[in-house]
Amino acid sequence: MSVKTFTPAAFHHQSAQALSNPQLRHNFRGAMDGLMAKRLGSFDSWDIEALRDLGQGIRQKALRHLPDLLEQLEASCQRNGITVHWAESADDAGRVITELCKARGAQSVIKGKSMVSEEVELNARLAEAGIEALESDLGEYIVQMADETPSHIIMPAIHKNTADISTLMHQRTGTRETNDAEELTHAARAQLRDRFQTADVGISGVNFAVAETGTLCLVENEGNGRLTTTVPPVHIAITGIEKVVAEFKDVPPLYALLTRSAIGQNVTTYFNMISGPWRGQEVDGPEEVHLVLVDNGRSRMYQDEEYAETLQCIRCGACMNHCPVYTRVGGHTYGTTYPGPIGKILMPHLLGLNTTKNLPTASSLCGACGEVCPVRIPIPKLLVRLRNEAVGEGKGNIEGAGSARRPMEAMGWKLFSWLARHPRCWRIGVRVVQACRSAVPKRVAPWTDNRVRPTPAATSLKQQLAQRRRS
Amino acid sequence: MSARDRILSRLRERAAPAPTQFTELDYSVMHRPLDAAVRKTRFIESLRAARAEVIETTEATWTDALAKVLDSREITALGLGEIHPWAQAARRDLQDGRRRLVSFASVKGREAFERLEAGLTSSCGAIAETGSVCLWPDADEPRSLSLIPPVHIVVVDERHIYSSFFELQSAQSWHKGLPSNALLISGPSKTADIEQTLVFGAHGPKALVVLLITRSD
Ligand code: SF4
Repeated sequence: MSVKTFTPAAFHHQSAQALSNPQLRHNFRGAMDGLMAKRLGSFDSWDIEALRDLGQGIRQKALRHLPDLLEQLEASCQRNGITVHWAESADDAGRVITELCKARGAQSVIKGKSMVSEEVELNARLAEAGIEALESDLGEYIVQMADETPSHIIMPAIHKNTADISTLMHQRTGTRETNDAEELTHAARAQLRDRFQTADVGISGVNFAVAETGTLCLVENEGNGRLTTTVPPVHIAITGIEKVVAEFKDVPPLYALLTRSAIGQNVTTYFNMISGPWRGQEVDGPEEVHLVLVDNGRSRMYQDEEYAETLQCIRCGACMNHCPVYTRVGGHTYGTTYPGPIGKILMPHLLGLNTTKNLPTASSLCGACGEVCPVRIPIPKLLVRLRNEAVGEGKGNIEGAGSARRPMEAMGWKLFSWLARHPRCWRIGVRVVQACRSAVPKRVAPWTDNRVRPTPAATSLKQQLAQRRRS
Repeated sequence: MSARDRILSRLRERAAPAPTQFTELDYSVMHRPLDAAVRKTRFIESLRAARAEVIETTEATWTDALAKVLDSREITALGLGEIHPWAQAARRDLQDGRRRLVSFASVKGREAFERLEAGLTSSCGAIAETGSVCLWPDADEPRSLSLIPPVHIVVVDERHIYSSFFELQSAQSWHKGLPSNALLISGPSKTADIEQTLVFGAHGPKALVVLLITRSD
């Protein structure tokens, strides 16, 4: 099934399908268990809570001064020869980048991993303009080949096993079928080698943008990000406006948190810091470097101090790795660019609650996401607030507030709240319910789909206590 | 109004939080100094754990070590700089005609991808804690030299190993400005995108060889 058919509105249906797919559940369970264990081990020699405090502080400091820092980032980048563009919406971002490509007469684009480019559906927009965009991160290369979207923000092809990938690569590229991940990886390397050389433009994401020095930091293991930002004559970096940090010294703590939280590694193979196109006598590197700063709903989230905490995110994926719901249903089920706990608080802001109202309810509120988040985003608290606003009277700093409200349910709760405040009526109510005990129907959908029929007790706890006191 | 001004003015609409909320951040968790001896062993261990080859050598004999690496890997075309002292020493001592010494500036595009079997670079520092080598590519040792050839050989001076990234960037005052491209490299390129199986040699170099110049003083 092509992932394009997944939507957040059909979350319930999609999760039922995912749950009945043992292979998918096996793939996720295995991967997530491994990631959780590795993360824990990688913080061994650290005072992890102090480091998380610092990470949180750095991100909060950056957000507090966000407009000023963005201006400073723009000035520093310009001084370094990086051209800065601003995009209010996904459409804007697509247009800016398409125009930059057209201005160079670009036919083909090579891409490093970028979730923001997924968010604005950049590949489709470029294709409309007749420009071919090829993903070069191995996981992205695989999901693009399968005509899918990433199911995890760090490991895009985590939902597939080696056999799936082998069959896919065989069908699409003629690669010899094998169960050897090494052989498949090296085949992909060979297939992409030429493409780096012939691409007219390289497009990457950004992990941290440093306002002080005008530096774009990219974290990766494969080297495709370095090739993307080094070989083609033009490099376009696309990122959300929240990715800025104030000073260079903010980078090492965030980098330390990011790699450990994401994949349990002390460090990645490459930490690539780009501060402009080639200078002076240099013989390689791009002639032009562009930075596209994407808003796409972020400045609206920023208005609300509590929701704005979502913008602290450094996209490590730890919250999804530790989420009991994500582990069982996988990333595609959410039907949104960003899945898992962070997706459940971010996507309602980007898309409105009308289509995403089920997402905040897809949580047991176990609190694991908040506990592992390296920048201490209070995800469970935000989920509860989103639930409230989804079923509330339409108030709240979010589009589609109140869209999950059902009049009967709302009335029911109003009645309950009134009864609970009027003891005499409450007692009469209890008696009435007890008298009608046996009248509860056999099927109370959807409750009885998976659980036994609820029957009120013959004597309430309060009545039992009263009896005990009397005897 | 431009998109830029609209975004910035929306961000500025939010009522500023009370200034009392602002407290200086405490970076002390990042201060993790190590003794010189520990720095060296930690650096070597971390790199080896990431599958890099580390060869301890000295300033007087390092080009012999380099020749051995080239021979054992049957490398006949080595890319290297012309001006950097390490590159000059290598050029001086590897004149036996067993391999071509190519300055990167002279090979371009496709040629670079196809002809060079290894690239030799210097480094501007190293990090013990994570086993990282820091590169500031320039005209003489461009970015591609450590990226395109399948083997990257880098010379690291023991005296330039710092405890942590935090220490390195503060000691070298990176906040004052960076070159067009600065890099931390912590092993050969790798991926685990196929069912979590770790595979070396993704898109970057398949091997990283560190020639560590040790000092007796
Ligand atoms: S919300 Fe926290 S844990 Fe989740 S991706 Fe963002 S930074 Fe990581």
